[in-house]
Amino acid sequence: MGILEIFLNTIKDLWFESGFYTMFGSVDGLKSLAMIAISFVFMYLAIAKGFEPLLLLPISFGMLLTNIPGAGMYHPELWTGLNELGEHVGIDYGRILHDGGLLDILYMGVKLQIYPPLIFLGIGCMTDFGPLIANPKSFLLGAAAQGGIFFTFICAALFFTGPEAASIAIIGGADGPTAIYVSSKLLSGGGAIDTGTIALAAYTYMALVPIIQPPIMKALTSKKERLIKMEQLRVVSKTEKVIFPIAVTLIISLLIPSAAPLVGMLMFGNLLKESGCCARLIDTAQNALMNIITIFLGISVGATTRADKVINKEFILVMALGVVAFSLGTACGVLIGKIMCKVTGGKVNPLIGSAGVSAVPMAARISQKVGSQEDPSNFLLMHAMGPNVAGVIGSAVAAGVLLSVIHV
Amino acid sequence: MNFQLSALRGFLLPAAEKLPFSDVVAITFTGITVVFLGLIILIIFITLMGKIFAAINKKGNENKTPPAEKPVITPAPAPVQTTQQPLSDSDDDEIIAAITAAVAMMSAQDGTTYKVKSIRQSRPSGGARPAWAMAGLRDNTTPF
Repeated sequence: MGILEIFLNTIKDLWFESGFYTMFGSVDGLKSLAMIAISFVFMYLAIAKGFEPLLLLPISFGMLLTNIPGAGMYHPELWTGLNELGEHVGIDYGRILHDGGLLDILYMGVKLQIYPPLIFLGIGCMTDFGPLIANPKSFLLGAAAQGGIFFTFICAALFFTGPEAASIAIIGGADGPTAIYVSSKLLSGGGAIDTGTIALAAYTYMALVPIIQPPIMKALTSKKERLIKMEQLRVVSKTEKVIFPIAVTLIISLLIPSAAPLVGMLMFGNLLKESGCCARLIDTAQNALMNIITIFLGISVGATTRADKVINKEFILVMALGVVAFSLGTACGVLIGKIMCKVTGGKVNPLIGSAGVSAVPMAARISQKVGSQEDPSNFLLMHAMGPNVAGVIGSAVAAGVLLSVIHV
Repeated sequence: MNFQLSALRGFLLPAAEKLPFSDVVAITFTGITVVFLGLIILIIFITLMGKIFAAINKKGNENKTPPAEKPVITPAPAPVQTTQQPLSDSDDDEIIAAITAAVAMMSAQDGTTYKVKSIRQSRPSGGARPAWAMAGLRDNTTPF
């Protein structure tokens, strides 16, 4: 009898402690269930539809893990910077190391702004800035596309606080690591949206670039403009390619110091590549290191997508503003492309302007695709790579500006 | 207008927690200006750098004495048209080496002595790309 009683009590305790009981026994549990269902949707998009799978799959799995009741892998209360009395005392990293779960520990790399710059290091190793050096005017297109960030900021500020609006606006840069960098710095986790919300919107729309951009590009350009063939780019010497990352680091970091971590690491990676003497470092930075950081970044950012951050009207607004940001960025780039077309007497095809959003190389390939639909012998890809990589620098600069002017 | 804005802004948050609209506009204007300013400085720097290197390359090529009776090369069989820029880079040295090696092979096969006097980039008339270049470009861009 005693053994049976102990057995039954243990089973009962296990049931009350189980995630199933929590999930079906409370409203919060049902919300967690809904979040797990949403994580399945994002997993489907990543696996079956190929939506930025390298990041969306870890993010969606992080979303799954963090919403399992009782698993204790991520504790949002540790990241608010508030003590038991509700006073703002800043994030206690010692407590996180002591009390945090696996995803809390990994999320430290996001909150301390370590992962995004390391991702930029890998991107720098993989990027050829040759087309940009050959045609430096492409920087104008890269700058123009950042208009999407700032015009969206106006819209977002109607509904959100300054830090939240800036975090939403940076989605328009079409650059995932930059969006995570800015939002993790500006958002405390105590509000209605968090870094995970921003990352979800950013990566979803980056995957949708081939659907969002072409109608805008076609609507803003004439057939005659789309048919313009651009002159072949000049050859860029190795010396110029070596000087470029050093000069960009100095100029941008001196002008906007808060952009230094992103721009500096991007350019360091590029210097490793162009120097031609660090093959082992390049190999590590663009493969092993990048892959490790991508896993850590994705799964820990996904962990911030708790039910209270996603099942709310703010999330719907963030998704809506994300489309606005991407569309405005594309439109601004194409419009400046049209102006450059007029000024140069028809030497610039405005379609390359849309590549100023920094989704590399997707946005450049959209320019190529839309151009070749009009004339299959028109190859805009290399011309669009200039604004495309300028967009990476531009969005990092825009992030630096937002971090300088928005105070938490 | 002000009433509408404040009503809209009160949709999610108390107005007190939001930035004043004048600040929002100021931040937007400042942000765009600084981004353009930073990138325009880079345009100026890179343009100047490009001009300096072009001048150095030009000067270097003028000072170069023609290579004394290199073993090889022939009159090009087909007329070569557009000259792009003089080949000077280390990459281009490799291209020159590859071309002269190919010509040397020809020389060994048919017993004729060829002399390479210059190598110029050519394009078919009308600005169209050569067939191989077109095929290569298509290969790289159509899988998308």
